Amino acid sequence: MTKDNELTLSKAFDELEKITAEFEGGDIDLEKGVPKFKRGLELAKFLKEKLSKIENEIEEIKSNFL
Amino acid sequence: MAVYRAELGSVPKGDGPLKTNMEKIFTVSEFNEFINVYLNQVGEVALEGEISQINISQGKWLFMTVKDENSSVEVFGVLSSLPNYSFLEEGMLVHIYGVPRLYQKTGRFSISALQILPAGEGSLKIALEKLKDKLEKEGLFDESRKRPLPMFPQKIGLITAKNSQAYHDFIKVLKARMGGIKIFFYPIQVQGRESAKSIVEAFDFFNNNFSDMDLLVLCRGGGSLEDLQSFNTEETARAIYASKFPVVCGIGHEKDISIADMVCDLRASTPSNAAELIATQKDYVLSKVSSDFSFMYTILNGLKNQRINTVHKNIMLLEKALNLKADNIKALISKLNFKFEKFGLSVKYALSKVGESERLLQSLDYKNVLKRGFSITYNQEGQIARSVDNIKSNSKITTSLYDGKIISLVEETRPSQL
Repeated sequence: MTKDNELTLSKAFDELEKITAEFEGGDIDLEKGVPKFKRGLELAKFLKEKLSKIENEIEEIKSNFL
Repeated sequence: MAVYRAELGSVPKGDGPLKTNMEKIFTVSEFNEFINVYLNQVGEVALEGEISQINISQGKWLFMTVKDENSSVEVFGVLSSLPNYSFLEEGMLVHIYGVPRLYQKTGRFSISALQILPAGEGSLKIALEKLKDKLEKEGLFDESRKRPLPMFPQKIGLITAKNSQAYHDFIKVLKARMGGIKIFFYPIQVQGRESAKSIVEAFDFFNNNFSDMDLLVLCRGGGSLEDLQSFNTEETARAIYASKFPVVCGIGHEKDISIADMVCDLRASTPSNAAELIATQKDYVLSKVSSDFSFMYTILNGLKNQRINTVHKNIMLLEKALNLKADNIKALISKLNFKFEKFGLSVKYALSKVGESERLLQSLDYKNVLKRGFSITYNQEGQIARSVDNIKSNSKITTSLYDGKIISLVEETRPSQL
């Protein structure tokens, strides 16, 4: 499991996909499933927060050609 | 023979005619050097011509003659500074950028080429095909080297012209799909002679100054083959190939695929399409997250219900088992009762036997015998006298009867006459 302070959109999405795949695989029981579901909620929260950003930041580099 | 005299060492200035000192007689070397000093003032020139003859010497130098309908001129070039020389062939129309000079040794005039570009649609196509063949053989277009792009790029290097339609389209579409992305924009010249050089510099800049760029995007709007020439050069191809970050090309032309398109990791049809391909639609991610959760919830709920059912089932089984046990216990008790009854009977029987024995024992009690008239005699020493020999004359004897004792004095003892 990824530490939250290193979490990126990609890592969060991949981990969530992995958890979903485990559920899809059918090889999951209630004891394992509940903590995984909780982790999934954390990841989803992170993804939603990140994806709620609307603007992109643009930094222009001073090139030699302009 | 006319003697031409001039003053050496002074660099001619201004547009006026060359001033010569007629007192000075040039040596040939001095003359060639003098002319070169003058030619240097002409600076860089560009000329268009058809290659009438081409010769590569020792793999290092290019000697070429270009001509038009009336004239021809020699062209000299150093191959290492002409990366595109391999596409050149006789009959091809080219643009030559270079400086006029006189070869010191022979006084032969030529254009020293700094850059040679194909000119005209025909030449461009030939050059393009040649370069494609070459780079393909080297493996620059191999599918196996195409790198996957991150699903959520956070740092993007954008390489395109400032204030261009391509720039605006890319930024606009990207914003509509995903926010929170840091874009480093490196403005370049997307056409013209300096274009390829500016593209290479942009790639060098990103690769030398960043370690964590997610990808680079090279884009421009549509144009003719000539307009797009810098995207078809070997320098651009090699810069894309050498990039440590994955490269997406969004060059606005559908008809011909540029070399940049073939080398890059992902080809987009336009700058807008490049933005579409690199940024996952956030709405898609959010809806995927939501559907993942509803799926997981369904599974968990199913597991919970399954567990509840199992518990119910187990309780029922337990109840059933307990009922069965109760039945067994009842049976056991009745069995025990039966046994107890049997035991009771045997006890009763035993007790009756005990009564009999008691009666027998009672009948055996000596007191009962005494009651029947028998007595016990004790000698003076208190011993039971079982024989006349146990009793002495003139001694006291005690006779024990059923209800008392008789103490007597013995006169005489007589043994029985047998």
